[in-house]
Amino acid sequence: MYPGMRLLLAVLFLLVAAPAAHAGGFATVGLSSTPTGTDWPVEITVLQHGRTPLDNITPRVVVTQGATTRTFAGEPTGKPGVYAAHVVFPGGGRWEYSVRDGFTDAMPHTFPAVTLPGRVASPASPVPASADDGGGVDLALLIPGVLALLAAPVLLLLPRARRRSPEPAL
Amino acid sequence: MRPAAAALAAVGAALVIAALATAGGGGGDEPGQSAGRVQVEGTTGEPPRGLAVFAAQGCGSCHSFKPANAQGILAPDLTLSLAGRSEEYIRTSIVAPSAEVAPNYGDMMPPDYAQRIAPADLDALVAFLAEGSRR
Repeated sequence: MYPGMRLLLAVLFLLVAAPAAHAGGFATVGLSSTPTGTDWPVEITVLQHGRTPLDNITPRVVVTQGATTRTFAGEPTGKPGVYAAHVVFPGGGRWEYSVRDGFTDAMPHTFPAVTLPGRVASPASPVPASADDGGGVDLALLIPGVLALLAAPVLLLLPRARRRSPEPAL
Repeated sequence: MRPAAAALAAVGAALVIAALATAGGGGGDEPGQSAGRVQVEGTTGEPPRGLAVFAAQGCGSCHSFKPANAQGILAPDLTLSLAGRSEEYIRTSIVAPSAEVAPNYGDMMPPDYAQRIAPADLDALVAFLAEGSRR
């Protein structure tokens, strides 16, 4: 057999075998609920081939907002294939979340993004879930606003002051 | 009043009003967000019951379906395969998946969803799939 033919057969074998191997190792992930707030206790059911409860794995819920990512591991509940995770989103705003099944982790199990009530957490300083999210005055808006209001009359009076200043004596 | 001064005053007033409006209401909330309520992307108001059933049954692990942001690749993309199909067809596809197997896919779907899913939840799931595949 020509060397080139061997290589071609090997590539063909891989192309055929890879999807079959992948299909043989998949698991489904079911969630007992979708996020209910920044504090979200959830049970994750992991079934091999969608049928057989999978024990002795560690599924993880991954939540992402921009550069902020948090991972929450599921703990066995005692029920076959069922794991409990207590997800605490660092703050409100739009969050994407997915589950890694801990079986193959080949593909994340994805769900619709949610927008949660509360302040959006800064990537540099995540707001703890227990923090007051009732809101205060937003200084990022207030300070420039007050400065602009103070500057407006100054801008108005400035030309008049110039006009009223006495002409220098020649 | 000079235009520049008037514009500056207007911008300042708007910023102060916006800052005060956010006080007590979750200042960093995203636009359009209702205070105290979780909003699921792609839906308005309460999330559809069928979406919760879809998530609970792990449908998205195998199937893609845009309204659920599901990206499974092992089974047909429901956004496409259910487009134009009747609710009866969708119901049969869930409870008797071997009745018609999509071309290029194996007969892999568990056949016991009629037992796994409560009748009311099945109705909700069928409605969610029908609605989502019509978009």
